Amino acid sequence: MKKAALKDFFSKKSTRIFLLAILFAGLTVAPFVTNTLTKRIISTIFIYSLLSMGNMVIGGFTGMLNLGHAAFWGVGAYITAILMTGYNVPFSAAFLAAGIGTALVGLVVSIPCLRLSTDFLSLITIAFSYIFLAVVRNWMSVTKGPQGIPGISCINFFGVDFSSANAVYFVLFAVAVVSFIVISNITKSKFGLAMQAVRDDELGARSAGIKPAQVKILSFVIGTFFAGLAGALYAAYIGYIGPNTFTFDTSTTIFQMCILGGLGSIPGAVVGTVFFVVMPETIRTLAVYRVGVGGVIMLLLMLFRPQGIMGSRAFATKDGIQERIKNKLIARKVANVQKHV
Amino acid sequence: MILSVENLWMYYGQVQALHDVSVYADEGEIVAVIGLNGAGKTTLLKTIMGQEKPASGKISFKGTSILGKSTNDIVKEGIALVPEGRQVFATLSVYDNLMAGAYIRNDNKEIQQDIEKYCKRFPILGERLNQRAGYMSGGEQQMLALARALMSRPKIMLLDEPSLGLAPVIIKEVYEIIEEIRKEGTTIFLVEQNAKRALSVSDRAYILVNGEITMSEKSETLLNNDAVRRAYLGV
Repeated sequence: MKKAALKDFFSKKSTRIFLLAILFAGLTVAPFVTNTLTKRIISTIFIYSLLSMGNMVIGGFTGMLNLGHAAFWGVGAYITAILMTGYNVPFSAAFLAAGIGTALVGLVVSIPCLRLSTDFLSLITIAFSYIFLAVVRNWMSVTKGPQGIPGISCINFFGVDFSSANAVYFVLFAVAVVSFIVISNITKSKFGLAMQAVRDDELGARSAGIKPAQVKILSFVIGTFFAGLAGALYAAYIGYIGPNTFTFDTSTTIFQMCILGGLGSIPGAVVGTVFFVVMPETIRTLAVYRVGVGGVIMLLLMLFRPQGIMGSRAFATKDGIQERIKNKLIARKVANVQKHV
Repeated sequence: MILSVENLWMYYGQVQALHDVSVYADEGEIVAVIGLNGAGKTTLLKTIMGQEKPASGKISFKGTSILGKSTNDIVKEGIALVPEGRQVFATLSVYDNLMAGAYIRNDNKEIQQDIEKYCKRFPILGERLNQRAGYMSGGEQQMLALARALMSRPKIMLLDEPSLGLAPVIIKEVYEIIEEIRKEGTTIFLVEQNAKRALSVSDRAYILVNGEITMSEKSETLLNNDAVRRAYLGV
């Protein structure tokens, strides 16, 4: 009874708006009352949530297992860094170029993906991430190889410098909020429905007049576009980029964020991001065990809540362990009753 | 003639799937194609829907050729397919499944009216509107698949083995609904292994054997044909 009431409380629209308002107010005040480290962590969450939301569109909604998202992030970062340091392009232009350029790369990568099922598609995306690293590490004249590109000037929109830590924070905050709204609306639109239809059943989708190939390519382009934007923000925020940030490990972390948050849920992507950015910071003393702790948490998640924290159970075929035990106990009780009758 | 297929030849690589197949459906008819596993029934429907390319032949809908058109355009023309094994969107709610069925339409108001209409027609869908489609039974999913196909407001519906994997009682129910759909003016073209059911509701039927039409008769005649009875009805 109590549980139902609680559930009711959280599913009410007014409650949700209230909670969102508190969150929004908290994030607005945060830079003025917290220290530099906290500010940095929240800023990192903003950048990573662009990545996880983008990957959620590709993986959680259209069902394409993309394990190369960090490489797309890298494409955006390198486009920005090269344009800004090599050609003195202003940040606003580089920001757009990063989004569009990365989306074009996403378009090219998505085309061979059309012919493949999820598992093999993930191999293509893994291959892409290694090709990306190989190019970046060896194309000395453009990417400066393993030493990376330093001296990228800070975020600057149309001549207004956002160089102070607070200003950068608010730029990242704004971009994250706008992206969240845009992506949420895409997933709730008719096109969002088409993505999920393709994920669930391509043949059924085709029979309904949906073009699976088009939907897949477009969702890949949308997801990688936001990865490109994240790359631009990251390059200008940190001021230096090197190949070691955009590795396969980072891609798996981004996918873990989506799984933890719950595939098929955009708010879930953000929740997963918060966890995977905050977790390593809070247990920094156990630095050596960070990967292990993340792994254990993923295992527990698969056991108890396979659909993820906010997920729609889209990818979980079985119930959580507690539900399975409950069902077994009920079945046993029923069997006992039948025996005595 | 609302749908006509003439001299269709179709190969999967070296394997011949359809051998000079000609079938047609008149407006308001229920036409059945009876055949065993592997006879080419599903291939025929897939070719009509533009999902497979024939080697030669003609396919026309309301007098104009639809050969070479994309599935999406064919659905827009007014042909809907209920695929074999239902293929509902398992993780989506019943409501979203119906919305996806209306993907090619843009008249939101009428889409909502249609959803209400089909919730009355298929009470089980009305009851489970917000439930996940994958949690429904096979029969319920078949109802959903029919309703989803109807959401595109088709002139003709192609049904691929509507009785597959369903209990006899449910099969009866499904076929009653098929007859009702026809009464409302939608032509039905169905392929079936369950010859008895298909022959008893359809007006005309074709017998498909190894990709070849071997018989084309009124369904009643086929029901009483000795060879057919022996081969398909098990008597």
